Amino acid sequence: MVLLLAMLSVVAAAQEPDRRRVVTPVGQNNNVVMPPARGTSDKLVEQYLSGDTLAALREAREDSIKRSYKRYPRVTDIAVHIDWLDLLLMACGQDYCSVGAGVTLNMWNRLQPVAELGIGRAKLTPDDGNFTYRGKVSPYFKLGANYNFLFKSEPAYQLLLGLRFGLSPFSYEVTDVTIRDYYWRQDSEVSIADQHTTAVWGELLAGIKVKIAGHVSLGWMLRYHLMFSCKNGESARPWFVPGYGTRDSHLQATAAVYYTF
Amino acid sequence: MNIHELTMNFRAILFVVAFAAAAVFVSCSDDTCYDQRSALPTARFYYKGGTTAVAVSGLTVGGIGAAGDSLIVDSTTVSEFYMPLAPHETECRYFLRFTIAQEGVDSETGETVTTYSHLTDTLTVQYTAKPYFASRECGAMFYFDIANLTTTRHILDSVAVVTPTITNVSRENFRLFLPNDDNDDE
Repeated sequence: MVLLLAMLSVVAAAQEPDRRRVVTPVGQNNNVVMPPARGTSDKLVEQYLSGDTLAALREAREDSIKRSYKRYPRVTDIAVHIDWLDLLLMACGQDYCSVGAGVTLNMWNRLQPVAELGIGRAKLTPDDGNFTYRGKVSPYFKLGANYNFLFKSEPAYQLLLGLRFGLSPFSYEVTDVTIRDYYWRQDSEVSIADQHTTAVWGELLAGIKVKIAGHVSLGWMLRYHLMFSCKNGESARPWFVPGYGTRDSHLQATAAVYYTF
Repeated sequence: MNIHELTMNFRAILFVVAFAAAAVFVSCSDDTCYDQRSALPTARFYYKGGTTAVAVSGLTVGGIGAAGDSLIVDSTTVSEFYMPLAPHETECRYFLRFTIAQEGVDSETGETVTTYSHLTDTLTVQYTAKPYFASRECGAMFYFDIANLTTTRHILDSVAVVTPTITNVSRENFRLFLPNDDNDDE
């Protein structure tokens, strides 16, 4: 029995694979000379062949970045724009309108400081209401910046995300107010004049800008508003804020035509 | 993808975004007034020292001098009621007619019978009215600033102004306290 066990152990040891670790610095393909990537400059190849591999690797990296996308100058272009969508919507029956213009400085085709200013007005007489709301022509101002996510592409096509800080001192009045008193039967016709306030708000916007022809581009923006401050007038809550839209709305769509210098 | 195809794709996206934005823009308006279209003060009954509103049965409330002697509450059980204020005046008076039920024994038949009597208190509200535009949905109305609230004390113990500015937001404005001789509300 002891002999049998000894023979079995010898056979098992003979059948185990060779587990020795083979370490060698020489691979099978290490002697193949790889050609340089297409477009690699001769200077870089010579530098590599001269033995200064660290400098060559650094230059190769910079060279690949340069070849991957075009780098634009600090001032890539300057564009002026005029908003037109509110004009169109007002012609279609909208009760208010903000018309603005702005200047955009395109830096490195990536960061775009923007300044906007404009005016807004409103006139609302709802069929089921007892008043006429008039937002007097008042100015608004916006400052902010866009970030162009297509900075590697031509400036003709831009996908933008931006922030704005808006401010508008404005006036309004509510006239032709008819108030029915069904209990005491004391009906009234009054007007609420000379209401003033100042609105301060922020905007988060997303949009696109597309070159149409020559220097002319069109842009569409969807803006999410967040009102920071807008006190009510003495006798009336503002319904419309120039540059912002209706007081209680958070979304606004704008469209603009751009001329790029 | 060549530049021409890229341009066409961008223009397609551009028009889709434009129409989607316009749709959102148009569809976001809501004409519902979630508050009230007029400013009506609300009065609520409490036992003196209590914090839970109580219902009063057989109550009749009306404005003194109201057109057609119209009633605000007509012989019903309520714990609160509206008190419409006259916009052209600076003071309004209301009568509160309480129904008192008393049980007794009929001297002839010996049966228990319930008899009813009435006691009336008068509430006086002094205020100033001003027109106010609340919103596009709720419109314009009068808001009121309450200067004073007083009552006679036939049934009512006392009154208090909780919210002195009356707006179209529904909230408790006045508290009317009943004597708490036999209540366990506290």
